[in-house]
Amino acid sequence: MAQTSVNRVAEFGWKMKENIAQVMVGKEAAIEMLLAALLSDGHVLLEDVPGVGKTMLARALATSVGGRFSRIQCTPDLLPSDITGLSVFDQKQGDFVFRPGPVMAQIVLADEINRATPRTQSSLLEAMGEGQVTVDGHTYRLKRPFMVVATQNPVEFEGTFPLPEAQLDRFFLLLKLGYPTLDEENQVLLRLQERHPITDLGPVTDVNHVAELQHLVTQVYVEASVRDYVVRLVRSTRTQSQVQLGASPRGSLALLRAAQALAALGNRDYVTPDDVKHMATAVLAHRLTLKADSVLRGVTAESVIAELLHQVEVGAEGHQTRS
Amino acid sequence: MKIKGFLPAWASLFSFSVVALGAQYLSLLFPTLAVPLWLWPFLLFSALQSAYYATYYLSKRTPWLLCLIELALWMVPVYFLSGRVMQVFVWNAFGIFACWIMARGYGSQFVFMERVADYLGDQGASTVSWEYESLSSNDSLHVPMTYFWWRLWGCAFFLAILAIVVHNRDVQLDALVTWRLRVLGSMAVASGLALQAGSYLFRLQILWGYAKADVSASLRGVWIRNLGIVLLLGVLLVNLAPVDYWPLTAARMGEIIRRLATREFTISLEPLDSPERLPSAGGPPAMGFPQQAAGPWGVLLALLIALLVGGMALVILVVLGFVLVNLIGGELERLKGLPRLAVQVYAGLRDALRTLMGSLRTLGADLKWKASSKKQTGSQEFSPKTGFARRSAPLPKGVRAMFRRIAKVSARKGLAFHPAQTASEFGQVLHKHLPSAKNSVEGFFSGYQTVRYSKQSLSAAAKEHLLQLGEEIIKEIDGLEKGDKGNGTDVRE
Repeated sequence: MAQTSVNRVAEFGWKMKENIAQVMVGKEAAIEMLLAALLSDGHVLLEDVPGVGKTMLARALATSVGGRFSRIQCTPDLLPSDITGLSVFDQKQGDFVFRPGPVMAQIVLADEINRATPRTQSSLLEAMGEGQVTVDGHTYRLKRPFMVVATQNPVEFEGTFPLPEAQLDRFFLLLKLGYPTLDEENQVLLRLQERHPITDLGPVTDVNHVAELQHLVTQVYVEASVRDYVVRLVRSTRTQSQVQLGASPRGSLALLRAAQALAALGNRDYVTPDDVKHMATAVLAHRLTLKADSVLRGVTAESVIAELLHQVEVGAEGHQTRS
Repeated sequence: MKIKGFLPAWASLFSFSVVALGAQYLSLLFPTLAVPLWLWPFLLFSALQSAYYATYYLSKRTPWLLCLIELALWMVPVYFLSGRVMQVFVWNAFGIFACWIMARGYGSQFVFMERVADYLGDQGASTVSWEYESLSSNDSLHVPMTYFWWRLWGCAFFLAILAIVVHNRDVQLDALVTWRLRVLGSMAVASGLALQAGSYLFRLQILWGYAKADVSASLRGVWIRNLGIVLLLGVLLVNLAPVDYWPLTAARMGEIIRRLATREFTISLEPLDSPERLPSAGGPPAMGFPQQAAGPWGVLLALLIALLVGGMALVILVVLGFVLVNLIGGELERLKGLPRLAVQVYAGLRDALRTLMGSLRTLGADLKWKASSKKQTGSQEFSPKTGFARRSAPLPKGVRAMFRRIAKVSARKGLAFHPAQTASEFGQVLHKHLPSAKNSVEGFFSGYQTVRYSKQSLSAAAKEHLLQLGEEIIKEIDGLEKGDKGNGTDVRE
């Protein structure tokens, strides 16, 4: 991969960060990971308590990228056809005409996704996994790039339906924003005193450019030992004593692609183990199913990943890696 | 394997053994309440009939009259077999009724458990579990698992009280009675535990059936094995544990407190096994508390007793936790109260042991590594100021070789390069300990990353520059005192 190509990715990252930073105070790490997911052609689940800016971050990303944006406000009475679209009878034509649903966009914000029923949630599976939607026997290809940014609130259980593992696995990253710091919260109040800056936000790139960059990211060089590290790290989640179900090979792929995107955003045309470590928690934690007794003891998927990052050998100089 | 067919049998066996054992103990305390041998099959078959009838045929609309007729059919032969003596008949009939009503209760609960599944309506399979839980939290529609649990404990408590009373009364037991008590006691424990486990499996089978879950075929084998282990442990415990093994009774505790208050304290833990040793009001203190001067040994002994009690409680919790984790590992988050505490204690102990073993392994590996590195540097001279003097070996030619050399030198100063560290993390550790070589560390490790992980090849000048930076770092590390090693910091940070 030529350095000029990496420069383009880094420049894109810089512009996007600047633009999103107009509405999001702090959260640079989350923004960087979100961009990595966008460049890796992945979907993101933003999980945190209400009011920390999940929806705003998703909206800012969609606005910055341009392209067709749609928002689905998930509720328990939402039907699959409300997402995918449906065929209605057109009296003029005397035939059924397909009315596309909000999923037929390029950046889809699924707000409070865990409020939709499992049946409705699963209607997003095909779109997220295959990039296509099948309605009434017809398959409609979705325009690239296609990204679902879903948000969910982890503290409320009343009237919610936890995402099934199959759908969680289809999310490239799970990001937690956390509360802002004292200074950041002050900044938020100052900026939003008169009007919300999201109304002034404009696109800094276009979807074709994003699609091109997505292709460039796949060209970032991965040295054999780094690839081996990714595989060993993911495999270690399957044998960890606190984990009932480890990350799938889709997790390995996602981790490698995320590391490539992060390297490119950092203006590098090669991946280092630091990139892998940096992305590991966000990419792998939501793919783990912990054992019940571990959950009882307060073990979290994040702590398991952190522990594995301290255990799995990187395979750097002077150390023989264990297979 | 459908468990439903076995459950009424276990329920009736449990009802029979509890009633028969209770009657046996009562007959030892009050000889007029003897249980004739011919009554035993009546007890067993009345329980079987009642349990199966309630499980498969009884409904809310069954008239009471039918139940009374059913009961009367059992009572009539008992009346004649009792020799038509009213006093004998009442006692025997009471036994039959107790067995019959207890088994009837279990049978009704099995039916109720199935009916709870009907209340779920047409919910999707994935929501069945939640619906079931929400039903279980509703008082009027509770899932009757607690029913089985409390009955098991209630019966155990009742029988234990009877056993202790009989033991403390010094009742003489002949071999036949002892054998009967053992058989009935083992049967009560085994059938009670099997009933508890079976009802739990029955509940799961209702859920699985409703959710059309594909259950592993190996489950039956695993379940039977685990149940067998628990039953064996239970039966062994009941048969091997002495009846009055508890060192602290209420009377003895009261006496200890009284003695502590009056500062005349010496304890003897002789078994409290005869009524004449009980403390009498106003009389001299009995119960093995000799009148001796107070001393620190009394307090020490009290502490030892407290430790013993605590230790026993811990062991019981750990065993219970082990059983729960291995039997119902998938649903532990639903446990509450004592079972939850037991699981937490067991898991905590297990983790502590694992951590200890892990630390020992790490220590072993570190010692091994140190021994091997000592062997490698054995020929080098050691200076108290500079540590091991570097051998005048040829300098490494590549940047990667230089990295290895830095790692080796820094390891001698306690800044070992951990296998799970990346090069830049190792660089940060060195950066922290070598503030004067900040630029060299940054420059070298950044260049090393490029050499190690990219396809780019360095120019000769750049390579020379990196090697020079490496040399500077090594010099700085050599300058570190041994005491600087780590500064209490984890090298993996």
